[in-house]
Amino acid sequence: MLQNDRIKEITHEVARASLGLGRIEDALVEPTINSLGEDAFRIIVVVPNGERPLLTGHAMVRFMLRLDDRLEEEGEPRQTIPEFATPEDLAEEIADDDDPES
Amino acid sequence: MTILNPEHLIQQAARLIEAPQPGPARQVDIRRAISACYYSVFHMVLGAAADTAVGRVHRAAPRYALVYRSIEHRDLRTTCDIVKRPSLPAAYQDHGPAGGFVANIRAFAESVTWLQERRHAADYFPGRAFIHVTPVTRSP
Repeated sequence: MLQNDRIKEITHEVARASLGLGRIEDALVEPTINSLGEDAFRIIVVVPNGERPLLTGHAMVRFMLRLDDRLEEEGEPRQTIPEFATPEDLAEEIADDDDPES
Repeated sequence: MTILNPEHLIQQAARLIEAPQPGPARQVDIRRAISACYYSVFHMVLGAAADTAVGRVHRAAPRYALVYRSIEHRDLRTTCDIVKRPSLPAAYQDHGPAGGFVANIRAFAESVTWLQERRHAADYFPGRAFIHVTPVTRSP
């Protein structure tokens, strides 16, 4: 299994090549389990504020496929569960934790 | 058999994530929207499979319902995991394209797998916050 730092590197590389954005802010990697109870990891691809509307469905799927292919080439057996967010989204997510209406 | 229209589930999801005034969509609505999107795709696949195996003209026949209901979430997942690979495992190479499926089919399989995971998290992970994503306007 790959280390988180290597997964981050690959994610940046694949995102640059396939998302159609100049760069991404960050890639947050954390181990999790998938819906079948198998080891997996969640990747939050952090795109610059204001660039979320530039993400198209096609670009996101292209990114997910290429990421799977690259990780498999490097021998990573775990499933990837990508998500996309901006720094503003992540700040909002933290704020929502205290919101009883959420 | 009355067939559920998958497009209606997508429309339901779009309504759910329209932000109330004021503020963003509620987490409970985002979760239901994710689930509706997954079930839209799931029912579309079941309908396509039953149409292919039994025939669209036999939708009222008991065997149509039998085929439709025989596909479970895990079956769909297993199939998609195989289809999205760049080349098929040896056991499947006689039953599919030699060099793996074309990009659009692989992309569909990837999307189904991803959506299934998101739906599972939306329905069963109570502590997870779901970030509202601006609905995509589709081309006419």
